[in-house]
Amino acid sequence: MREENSHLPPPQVKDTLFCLSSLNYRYPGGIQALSGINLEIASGERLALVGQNGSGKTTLIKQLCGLLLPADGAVRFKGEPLQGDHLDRSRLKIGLLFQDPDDQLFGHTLIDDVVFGPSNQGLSREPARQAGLLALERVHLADKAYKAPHHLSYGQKKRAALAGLLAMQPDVLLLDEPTTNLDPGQEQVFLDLLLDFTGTLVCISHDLLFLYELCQRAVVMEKGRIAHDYTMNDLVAQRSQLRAYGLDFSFRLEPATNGTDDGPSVCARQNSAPSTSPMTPPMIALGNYAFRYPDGTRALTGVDLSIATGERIALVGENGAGKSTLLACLLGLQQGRGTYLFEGQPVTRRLRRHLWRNIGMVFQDSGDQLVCPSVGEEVAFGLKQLGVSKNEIRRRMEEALSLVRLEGFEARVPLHMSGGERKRLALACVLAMSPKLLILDEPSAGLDPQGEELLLSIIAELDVTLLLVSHDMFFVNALSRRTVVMHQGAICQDLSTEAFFRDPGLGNLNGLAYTFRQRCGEAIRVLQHEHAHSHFHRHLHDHPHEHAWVAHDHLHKHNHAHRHHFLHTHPGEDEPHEHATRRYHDHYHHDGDHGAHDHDHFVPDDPSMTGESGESDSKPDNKK
Amino acid sequence: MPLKVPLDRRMADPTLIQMPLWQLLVMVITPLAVLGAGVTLLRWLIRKRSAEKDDPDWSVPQLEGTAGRSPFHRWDVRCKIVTILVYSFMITAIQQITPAFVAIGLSCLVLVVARASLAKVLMRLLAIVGFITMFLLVMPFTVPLHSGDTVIVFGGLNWLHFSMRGFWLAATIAAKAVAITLLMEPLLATAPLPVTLQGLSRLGVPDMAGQMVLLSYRYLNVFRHEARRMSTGMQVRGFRKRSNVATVQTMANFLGMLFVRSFERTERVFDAMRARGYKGHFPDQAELRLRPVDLVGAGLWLIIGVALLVYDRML
Amino acid sequence: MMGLPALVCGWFFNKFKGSAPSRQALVGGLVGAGGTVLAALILALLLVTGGEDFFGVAKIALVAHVPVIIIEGAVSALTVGFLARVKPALLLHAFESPPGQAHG
Repeated sequence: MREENSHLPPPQVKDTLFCLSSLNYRYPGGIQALSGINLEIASGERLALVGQNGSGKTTLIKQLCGLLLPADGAVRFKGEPLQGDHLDRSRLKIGLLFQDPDDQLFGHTLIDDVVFGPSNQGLSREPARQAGLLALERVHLADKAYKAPHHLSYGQKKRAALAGLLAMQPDVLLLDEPTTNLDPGQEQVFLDLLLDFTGTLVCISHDLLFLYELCQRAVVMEKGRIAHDYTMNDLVAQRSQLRAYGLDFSFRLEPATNGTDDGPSVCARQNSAPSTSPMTPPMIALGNYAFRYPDGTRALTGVDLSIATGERIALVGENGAGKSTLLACLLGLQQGRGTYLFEGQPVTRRLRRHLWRNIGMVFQDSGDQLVCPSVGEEVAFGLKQLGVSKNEIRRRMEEALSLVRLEGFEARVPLHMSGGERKRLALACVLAMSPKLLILDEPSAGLDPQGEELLLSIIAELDVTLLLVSHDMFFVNALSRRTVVMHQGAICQDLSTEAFFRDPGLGNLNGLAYTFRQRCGEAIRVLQHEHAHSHFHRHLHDHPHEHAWVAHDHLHKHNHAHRHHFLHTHPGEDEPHEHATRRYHDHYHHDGDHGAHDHDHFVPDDPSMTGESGESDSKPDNKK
Repeated sequence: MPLKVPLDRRMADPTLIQMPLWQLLVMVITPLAVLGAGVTLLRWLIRKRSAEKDDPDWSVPQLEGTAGRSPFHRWDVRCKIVTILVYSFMITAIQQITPAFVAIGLSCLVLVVARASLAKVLMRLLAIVGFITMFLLVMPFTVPLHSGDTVIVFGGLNWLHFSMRGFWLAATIAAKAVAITLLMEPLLATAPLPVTLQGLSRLGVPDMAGQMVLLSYRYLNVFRHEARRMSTGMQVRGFRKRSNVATVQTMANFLGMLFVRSFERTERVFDAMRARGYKGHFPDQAELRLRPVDLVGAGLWLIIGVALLVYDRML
Repeated sequence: MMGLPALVCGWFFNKFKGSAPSRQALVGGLVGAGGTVLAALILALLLVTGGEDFFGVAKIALVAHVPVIIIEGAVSALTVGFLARVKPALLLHAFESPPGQAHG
């Protein structure tokens, strides 16, 4: 059912729900966040909002629900500007899902939280409670209704936050990065919930595979402007365009399961098997290791794991499988039962205190790791603890910063840097300490595709023993040779990454359903490689022209929809081929440029614009 | 406090008991050891209890499930707050040790009636142990000497004298503190926090204050996790607390960062609240009804309090 | 008992903070230490009103606060310095209670 859903042409009957006209917004700090936004969103539409970090997507979403008010221009919802009483009423019909569910779950218990919205809508206590319970039922959390939010797992919190919105029966859902930090199983659940939602949907995400499944229309933002307005199929089909906007996620699609040859292409330095002669003990050896939290929760049971020097290992498993606990034990932050040998030596209380010199870790949330007021101090922080001399600190700092492409950032404030830069800085801080084992916890979370690609290439170049914890199967495949699967506190599989990807049953067994990603990925690859299609497309351009009713002839900018035609052939499976650039090009008007031709002048509130272009969008017809 | 006058002249009036010096060690170390052992035992008990409990059924309100069981759960929140607060003030007015212990007994009785969770009560007690210990250790040695006091002097250390009166004074204070602390559990845990706060706001406490408590309670947990993750991050990079300037600098950075992150979060939380139609009020939690039974209960309890005070003054 | 000094100090901080980061840090430190001093004084005062039996406890409570005051002052100063560099908006007048009153 999902398949059909996402590929259906947009609904035929359309009434404009949102209408944004020449919207500008500037933050108090003086940063121009949005400029000249013209956008119409029809009711029932599913719109993906994509663009690099800092391109103004979140600001736009906040405009849509009136949390920020436009500096000039207007945001209209159902025909009226979003302000005053209309804003108050509209807010009850617009649901905004924040990236971090903790921001949204401010209630004492789940039920308190989901009842908050309906009560504000004017429902009395009992109907509000019923609405809340119903919403919790929809997100499969009815059995946790009276639990406090901080006792829930991350995935549950995320769904609870959605329930808080669904309880209000919103016309519109605005979603900011709905899938970050969810494991594939949770992500699938979340996707199903969103697909069940019948109203209008605006979704920000860097995960184009997810968006491809969910949305029909894609709006690309760049530097506070709307750069393009496509159907989802067209967006993913245009690789050169994606690259231009820093959204090229296609590196993810390159042969994912095609056997042995792809691994080394990314892991350049990874030679065959790591040299483990029987003489040298493995760097890390855990034997029958178990850990129990003080409150009695069993987090690890009977873990056997050995990591040889130079190995690259991926650790996968659903949220709550015990991965974080295992990392804490490896780092010496927690002490469990069983044997733990580091380079052949048993980790005693004394050695445990010095493990940090040898094991470095990049956290999932860089905010947890960056505490200093400047990049220079940040990198020097760990080095000072190592007791390195001043000159050495400077040398290592420069080396580490250039390794992560952050040269000259020494005086910058980490807090003000972008997500991708912060992640790389965190990596630099760890690398400067030249650890023997590098642990990466979800390195790709929250990064835009460009940032991901850069990070990937940096990590691939490193010459270090690597332990990667990730839900991101692409990173796992690209960076690791061996995959360790954890489930309920135990290691249930320890096999080569290649075999891991070959085993189709494994994913579902462990709640690691990543099959929809494979399916989408393949569909997108088909789109990117073979197409010959024509379709309507909206863009701005200048040309002299006349109108039938007003004859004039001048250069002007207008917004219209017209048919593009693309036809190209592919010489072979993997050989390069050219795509026509679509942004600026001449095109034919049936009456000639000077004749009267039929198009509208750009009028901000005119809804016919989107209507026309949307309706005439045709599906690409794929021909091999 | 050092005495400048020779002991024998100054201490003509107080009864003097000489003890060898080692007795002092015994007298200080024994209570400390007993206390330490007690605290450890309590911790162990709490841990064991929380480990043993199964995950309850969260689809029903945790408190409503037990509502029929204890009069405290059914007692009107406003009545409960007022009664317990007034009664607590009465307890602080007690001056003798015996009534103070009677008060502890009464509090225990209340705990039984309210079916309070033992682990939580013990946890609250642990929180005040430090303060009480300070009183018990300091006061016997520092109260000024009056005639009729019993004083124990250790060996030749004339300046060190243990006053029995000071000890009893401290013990009374400790007993009163314990009695009141024990009551906090029935006061706060027999109704969901939002309902208690709603009761407070009906009693005239500004609405804003109640909302602040509610949100603080929720986000204290979030911030605590955040702080823990940050300190883990610093530990992994080799930071250990030492007594030097660098540590202070790092702690300042850590605190500052925590402020910044918390502040940014509060902005987002406020946005989330506004986005869901928040206009200065949280929805009311429950219908508050004042039944005659509630008032009778309050009256009875306060009469007990007055009786306790009378008993105290007659001693 | 703990909140009152914080409010007083917040007011003082807003009054004297100036605009230079170094001055803000200095004032932050003084105010932080001052807050603890006030809290200690209030505690001692409350104890003293209990009668002369409590003088000893009051004195010890005061003395016990001295290291806390020093540390509080230093940490407040550095924290305010940090905030002045990283997020000056937090120190603006709009916020009635200044940061730097972590425990004050």
